[in-house]
Amino acid sequence: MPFSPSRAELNALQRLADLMALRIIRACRIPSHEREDLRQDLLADLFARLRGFDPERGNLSTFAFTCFGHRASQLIGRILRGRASMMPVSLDDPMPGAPNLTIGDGLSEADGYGALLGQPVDALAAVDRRLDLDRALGTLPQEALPLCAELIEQSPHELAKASPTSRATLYRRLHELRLRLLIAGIPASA
Amino acid sequence: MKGGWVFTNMDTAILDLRTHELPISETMLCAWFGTAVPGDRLAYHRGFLAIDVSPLTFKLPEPERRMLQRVADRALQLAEAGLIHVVQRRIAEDEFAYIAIARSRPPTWSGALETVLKAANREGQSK
Repeated sequence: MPFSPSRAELNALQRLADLMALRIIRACRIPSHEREDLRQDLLADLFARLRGFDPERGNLSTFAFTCFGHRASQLIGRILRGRASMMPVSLDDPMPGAPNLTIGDGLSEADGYGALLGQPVDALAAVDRRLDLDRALGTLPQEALPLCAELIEQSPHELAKASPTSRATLYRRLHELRLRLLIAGIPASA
Repeated sequence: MKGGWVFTNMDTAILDLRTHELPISETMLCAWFGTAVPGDRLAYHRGFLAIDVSPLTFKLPEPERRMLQRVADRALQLAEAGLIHVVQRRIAEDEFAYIAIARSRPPTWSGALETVLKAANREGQSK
């Protein structure tokens, strides 16, 4: 029958895991709010190994301490490997070999964080898009513009909830708006 | 000629007529006009439109008839707005090609985007 710790033993294990988590935090110099996650990780690993614990061969604290030690060395290795794979530098750090430039100066917009998140990075294309939108919106009737303005801030679902008009009417207007923008040459809206 | 028609049986030949696989939808008609330059042509229906869209003739299945009605209404709306010419060419007895010809676009008022963004800004601040 697998060993099942009592409440007092569980409390002792938790304190031990807490202590080991603190050691990991100090060893790796990571923020202290990681402590709870680490403790959780250590305890989960221990509970998975409790099946192999034999009370006749030693006490629980010793077994737990050994398990925590092994798990802690694994976690430390993982954290250090992850840190070694990245080189944390500031965009404001000077560029090596060019003291007048910063690291940020050497990065194009296409290599930036915005590009990673799918944001447009071509400034000329953005200007073109703005002109296209201005022209397309100019073809819409004036009464459609307030709806366009509302759609910038709110989703159609939120609009339907807040608006006194029925949801079907709103979606009919949206369909018409999409087709009118499509006629004006803005295909992404349809 | 795949994907297009050539009419030579009348006084003038219409070459390189852009056609989608018929029937086309209202969205396809709008998308065509969105990219059309003046003079571009699109055949949006082939048959006898007045009869084909009538719910009394049962010539087309109901969903297809409604789709054709929407296409015809949209073509008429574009024609009334002065954006296209709608013409028809007889192909056979009681069979016509309904053709939209893109016209030059009228100038639009600029500053619409600014108006919309300002209105959105005001709404955002009022919340």
